[in-house]
Amino acid sequence: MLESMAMALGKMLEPMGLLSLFSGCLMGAVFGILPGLGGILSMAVALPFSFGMEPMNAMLLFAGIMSSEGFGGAIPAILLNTPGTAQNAATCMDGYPMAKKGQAGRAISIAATSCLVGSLGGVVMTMILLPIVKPMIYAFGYPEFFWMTLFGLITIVVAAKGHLFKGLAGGGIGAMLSMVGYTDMYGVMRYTGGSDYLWDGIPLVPFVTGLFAISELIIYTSRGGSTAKLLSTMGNLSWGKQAIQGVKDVFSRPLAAVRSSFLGSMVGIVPGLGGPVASFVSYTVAMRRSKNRDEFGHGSPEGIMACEVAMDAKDGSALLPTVAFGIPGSPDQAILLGAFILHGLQPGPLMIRDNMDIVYALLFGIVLSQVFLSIIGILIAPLMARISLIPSRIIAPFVLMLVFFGAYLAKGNIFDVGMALAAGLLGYTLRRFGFPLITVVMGFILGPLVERAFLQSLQMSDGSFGVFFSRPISLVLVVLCGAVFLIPLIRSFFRKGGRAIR
Amino acid sequence: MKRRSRDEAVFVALLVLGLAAMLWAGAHYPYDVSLFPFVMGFPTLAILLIIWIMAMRSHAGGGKPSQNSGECGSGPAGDFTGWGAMLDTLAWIVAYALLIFLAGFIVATPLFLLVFFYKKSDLSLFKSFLGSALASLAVIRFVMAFASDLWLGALPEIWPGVLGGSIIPPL
Repeated sequence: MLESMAMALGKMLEPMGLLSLFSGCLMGAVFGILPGLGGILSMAVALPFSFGMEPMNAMLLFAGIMSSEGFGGAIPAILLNTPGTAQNAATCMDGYPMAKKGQAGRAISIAATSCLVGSLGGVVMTMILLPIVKPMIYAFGYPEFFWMTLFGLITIVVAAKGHLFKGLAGGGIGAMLSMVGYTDMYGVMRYTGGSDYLWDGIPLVPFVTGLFAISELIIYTSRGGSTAKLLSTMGNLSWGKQAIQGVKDVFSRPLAAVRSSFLGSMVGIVPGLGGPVASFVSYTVAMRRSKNRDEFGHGSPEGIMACEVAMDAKDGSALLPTVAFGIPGSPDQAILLGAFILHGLQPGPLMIRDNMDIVYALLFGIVLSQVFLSIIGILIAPLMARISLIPSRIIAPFVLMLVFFGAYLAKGNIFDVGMALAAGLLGYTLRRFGFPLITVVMGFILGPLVERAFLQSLQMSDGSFGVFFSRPISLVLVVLCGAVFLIPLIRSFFRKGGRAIR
Repeated sequence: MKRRSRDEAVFVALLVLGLAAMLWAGAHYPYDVSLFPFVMGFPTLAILLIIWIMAMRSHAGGGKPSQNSGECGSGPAGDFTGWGAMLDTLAWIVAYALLIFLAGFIVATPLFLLVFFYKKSDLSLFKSFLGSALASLAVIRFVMAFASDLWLGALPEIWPGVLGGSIIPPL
């Protein structure tokens, strides 16, 4: 363990490691600031560019992106009342009123400090839980991995925005698409339609990049315009004093910080829930517990802190299911899972046994990039906020350019550009009709893993399906799958209330 | 709303057909090879049929919005524009992809950016030119650090190393 930690730290502090981390940090912050472009998109755009990098440096790039989006998104949430990413929506509730009172600097400083505290909390929580989870992973066989992966998929379907059936159908479509191409277990081609291009299957990078990025760009560009105007009070701020006050606001509430950190970490561990749930749950709990409940919604420092701490705490803890079981703890980690596979890293017992240095690098990277961003962010926040005022029709072609270059770069095949385009069109249409894209990607990434677990389980039992139900851990997982799937159905049957996350 | 339900029904019907075609093709594979696609495919097909029936019922009932209406119906109203604006944006994206295929990244990128900035972003010709030149230069230099061979276009070689002469891979 200590050896892996030392190796991770050593690699991270090498010039290329630091450069990758800070590049990711910058990219995440810029995408986070741009309303509508944050979240999964920045990870998807970075995916092809990580291909030529060493796995460790690639993971540091993603650690930088994951940790910085939250703070990047808080800046327009505070200054423009427009959340940069979905998870910053709760920050608007107190950030913007505070900025209107002329305390924008204080609000941004609270957000920056809270992000740092949250990241630390999430990482500490993960490091505590990792040794506990480790023996559990080793106890898992193929049938358990089959059910665990299905459990992750169902949880994400239930949590994803949109209709439950559409989420399930999306997962199924993704899984079916993942079956195109050569099957290494049986050495035959499937569903290629005689195409040479599809021999290796639908390529991951252009598919995922196109699905998320191009569909988002179509929505973003056809909508046009830019976001709200900067507050007129921006120019009159005593930035330095407010920044110090913001730091004090966070450190004077240690219990609230620990509580939000814990809540964020817990949400992060549950597959698929992600930042918006973490920040809203933490905000609600903070409001209920606060002595100054009336201040909430009118510029409460506790409100901003609760959202930002929880949101960043979930980044570290969401790594736990991703790394240990190959089930993304949050939607953006579905892309991270894709990156693992792209770099030949196998999540699960093999990763825990052989690549712990990568896991620690991700954890340390999240904290280090947050330290960097918190310091730099407070200093240049007003300047950064202006990025979100650039009209979407100027930003969109740049992002499109990166998407097409990225799609081509991964394998150097020009038809990958066409694949990205086709995936983008599919993604747009699916989104338009309410199919959550995250379940399609989950199905696509997890499909081959589930198939392998499924077939190897059958090989273990000489073709008997009883193997899926006869082992104790399998049975527990079957019950969990059933409960996660059926409880929302039963609830919605009795109470016609909707639930939508992300 | 009625039109949206109809569009949704058409889209889901296309998904059903696509999936059915995959399952039909799978029936010709050996048992082990087709087993998992069947395990995933048949339930997905059943779910898609349910969604299709719901969309058809919604269409028949005057397109009454339901929980089934998804992001377009239940999400923020401003997220999705009409098909016209969407197709206009898509046409630009397709045009850029085609231009890349024919003329390669080095020529297509500045050309696309210049025309997009000038026509779609309403920038002046000078700003469009400057923006496209700087952005293309920066990105192409950056990308060349990752890949030595950029696609130069399917056209016959016109300007060695810049325009044309790439070999089209087998499709």
